[in-house]
Amino acid sequence: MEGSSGETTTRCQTLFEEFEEAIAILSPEGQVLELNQAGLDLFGYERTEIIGMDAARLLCSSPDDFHRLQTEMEQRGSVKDYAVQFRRSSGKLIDCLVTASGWQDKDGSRGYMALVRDVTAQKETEHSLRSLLRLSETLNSASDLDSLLDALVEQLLELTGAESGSAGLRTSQGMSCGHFIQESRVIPLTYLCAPGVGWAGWLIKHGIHYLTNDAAHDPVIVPELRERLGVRSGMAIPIVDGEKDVIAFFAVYNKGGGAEFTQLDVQHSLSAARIASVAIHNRLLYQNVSALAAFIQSLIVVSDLEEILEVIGRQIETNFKRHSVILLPVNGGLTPRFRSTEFVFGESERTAATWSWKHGQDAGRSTEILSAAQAHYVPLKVRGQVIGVLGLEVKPGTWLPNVQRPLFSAVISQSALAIERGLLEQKVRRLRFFEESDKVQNAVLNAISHDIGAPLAAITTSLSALLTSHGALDQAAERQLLETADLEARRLHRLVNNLLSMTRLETGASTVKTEPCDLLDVVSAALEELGPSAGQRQVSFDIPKDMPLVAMDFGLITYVFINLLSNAFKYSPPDQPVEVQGRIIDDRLEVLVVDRGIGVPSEDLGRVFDKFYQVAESGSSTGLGLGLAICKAFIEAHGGRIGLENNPMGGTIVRFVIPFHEAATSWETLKL
Amino acid sequence: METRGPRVLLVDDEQPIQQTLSVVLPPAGYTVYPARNGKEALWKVQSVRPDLILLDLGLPDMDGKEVIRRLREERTIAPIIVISVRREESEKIGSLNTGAHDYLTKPFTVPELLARMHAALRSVSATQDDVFTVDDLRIDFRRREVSIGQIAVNLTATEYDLLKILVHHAGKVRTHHQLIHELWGGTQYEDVVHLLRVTLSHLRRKLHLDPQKPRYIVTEPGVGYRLRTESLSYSAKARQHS
Repeated sequence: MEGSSGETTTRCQTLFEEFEEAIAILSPEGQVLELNQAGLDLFGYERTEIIGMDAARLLCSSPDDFHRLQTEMEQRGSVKDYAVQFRRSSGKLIDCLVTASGWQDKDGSRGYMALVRDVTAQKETEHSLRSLLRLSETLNSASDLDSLLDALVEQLLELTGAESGSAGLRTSQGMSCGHFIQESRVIPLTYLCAPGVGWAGWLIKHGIHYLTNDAAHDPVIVPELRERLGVRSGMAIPIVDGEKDVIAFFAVYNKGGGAEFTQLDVQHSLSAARIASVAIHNRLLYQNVSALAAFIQSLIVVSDLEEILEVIGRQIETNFKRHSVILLPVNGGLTPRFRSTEFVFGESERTAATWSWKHGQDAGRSTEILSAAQAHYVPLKVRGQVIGVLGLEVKPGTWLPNVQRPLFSAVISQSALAIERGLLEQKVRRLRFFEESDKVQNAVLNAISHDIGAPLAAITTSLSALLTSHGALDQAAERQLLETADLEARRLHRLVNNLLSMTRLETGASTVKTEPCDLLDVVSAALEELGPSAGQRQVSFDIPKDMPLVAMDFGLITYVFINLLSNAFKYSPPDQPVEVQGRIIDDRLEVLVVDRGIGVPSEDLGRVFDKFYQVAESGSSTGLGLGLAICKAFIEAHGGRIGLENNPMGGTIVRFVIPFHEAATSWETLKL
Repeated sequence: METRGPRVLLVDDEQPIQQTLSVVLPPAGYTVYPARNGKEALWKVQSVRPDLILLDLGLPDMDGKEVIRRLREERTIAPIIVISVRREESEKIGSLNTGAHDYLTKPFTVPELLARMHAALRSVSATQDDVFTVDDLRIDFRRREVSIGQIAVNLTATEYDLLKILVHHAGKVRTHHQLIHELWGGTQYEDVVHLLRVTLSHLRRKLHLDPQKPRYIVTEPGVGYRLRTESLSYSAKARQHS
């Protein structure tokens, strides 16, 4: 019996030992009677350390757990997949499922036989899966890229059990590192890793994850970061897009409880990276779409070619953080029409740009053709026609991140369309100019024949009357005729001189010659020039005593006053005063010439400064047409504006402003 | 030929000017000798021995400035008044620097021309009266008193000196450069020209009480200033007439 019993026992024991799962035989009191090799491995003890020991005390993380199991066994005689947490000899907790049934020996001794299954890994996987699901949800509901990256780091800390972490985006210069979080606190730390520098830079270069459990001797980590966060261990994971381009990264540091990061952590993190990749890619695409929308919007509002080129250049700078050059063909060659200040356009640039223009293909840096150039040149095409070339500076690393390439192509095609629009606009304007200049020429001829013809007629009439009177006229009449001739001759002289000045200014043959002038002196000179006609009128002045000298062309502004004052005299009753006001407002001189005369019909207010307005209107009165146009030309040559408004008190107010800059020697400081 | 009064050599190729001035100048006491080009002028200077030269810049055979240079080389001391249609500051300053006494832009009025001629001749005789008057302005150099009508005017030392210099050259254009040199000596031009403008602006405000009346000190844009000697009370004249 003994033998057969022993045999059975031995056979049982062999089975028992070979069984892959842990099997324990316990006394009703919970003493470990027997434990197979799988069991020893599971709990991490030597046989001698565990046989005869109290399982509850030795193995259970909480003795209550074990007592509940015992109670259950007593009541039902068996349990199935009962969850108990055990502690290994190393102290590590493991989640287990216990299936047990009562056991009775032939000799009547009783106990339990328990099958223990370690489900820790399974539980961890479940936990990870739940974390990843949560991660996906959180990332997709993030309102912007920053909050997305913050959320990413938070979720990763939970997923990997790390103490701190960070994340960042790929930029044209490398990898931006930020979003540092430690113990739920955001650490204000951002820096940039060039490709190859730091873990983040390493990721750009190698495209796979980086793991170390000995940060103290890690050659790659940024030393300041190691000091600041006290990094012992960590891993950095690249976030790649569909074309295996690294678009972002995250890193976690210091696994909780002093443990090491494992391959499992890496696996989970890589899953998280895939989820993050989709979310970040979506965000970036969204950003691109908004950027493109903004780009198109800003192009719509400008029509002038120069402005269009400026807008394109500025938008490219904003969206791609790179300098650019835009070249358009002029006389069979390319000419830079927009160039970022920092962009150096040398001979090799011109060669690459010209090749791109002639062949309608990309050229320059990061292409196969003429890659010695500093920039990548892209032909600007409209309906297959190359209308120009855009050069984009290429920074070390790649030409453009994948995610930005669709945006760039869209920007290029929109730019081409806008530039074409600008070119057409220019053509239309040029045609219109020729049309206009025909009209203007007619008006000039009309105006000259009127404004010059009228005084000449007056002079001729007066003088011929005197010559043919043969003493028939009295002295007063003679004097009247002479004064008329004199006045008209002066007027004619002024007009011819100032027409000449205007033509010189408009054709660029001369520029305004400014010198510091005393406004009152200028007005006085105008009144002297007007002579008797001014002497009979009451002119009042409202010019501050301490008015500083203002830089202007004495002769031109004197003429403006002559014109404005003579108009005021002509179109207001002789007993009504004419007022000249002058003041400095901020950085400009403002002058008002106010009369109480007949005013100007309000529908004509905007047109009186048009060349030869009055002549076209009636041709009856002298001076106004050419005179005001000349005034406008003179004031605008000073960088100023002139306008006419109706005086609410009746009459007209002519207002002009010209820029004023405080001179080095100011009126106040100079009391001689 | 018997001649009376100062001799004027009129160098101008334009017939209307020759004709007008030979009618207008003799009643004012001048004898006019015409010259129609630069060569003729240089030759006639020797025989006519003029007291005053009126010179147009745009001559058919040579530039007027060249005529001035040659006249000065030949030690002609007669004052030269340039009469020209050229309005550019550079022409004015160029002529004055070459040796012209004054510059008058065409067209001009006869009183204007007579005043300038009078001033030019007076500056050669270089006698300074104790009292200077034009219209309401009166300056008593002995008493160092300046008044406008009945109102005494208080001037700073610099303002008084500036006025004195302008009176000394009354009726003639004085360039910024000349005025600065006379007021402050050999000071740097660029730094001081603004000072001159401001000082003059102060001075004018003290003298020119009614902006509607003609100024005593006339600005020659880009060139300098001139103290007016001709009476210009046109408002009174105009009122009398009407």
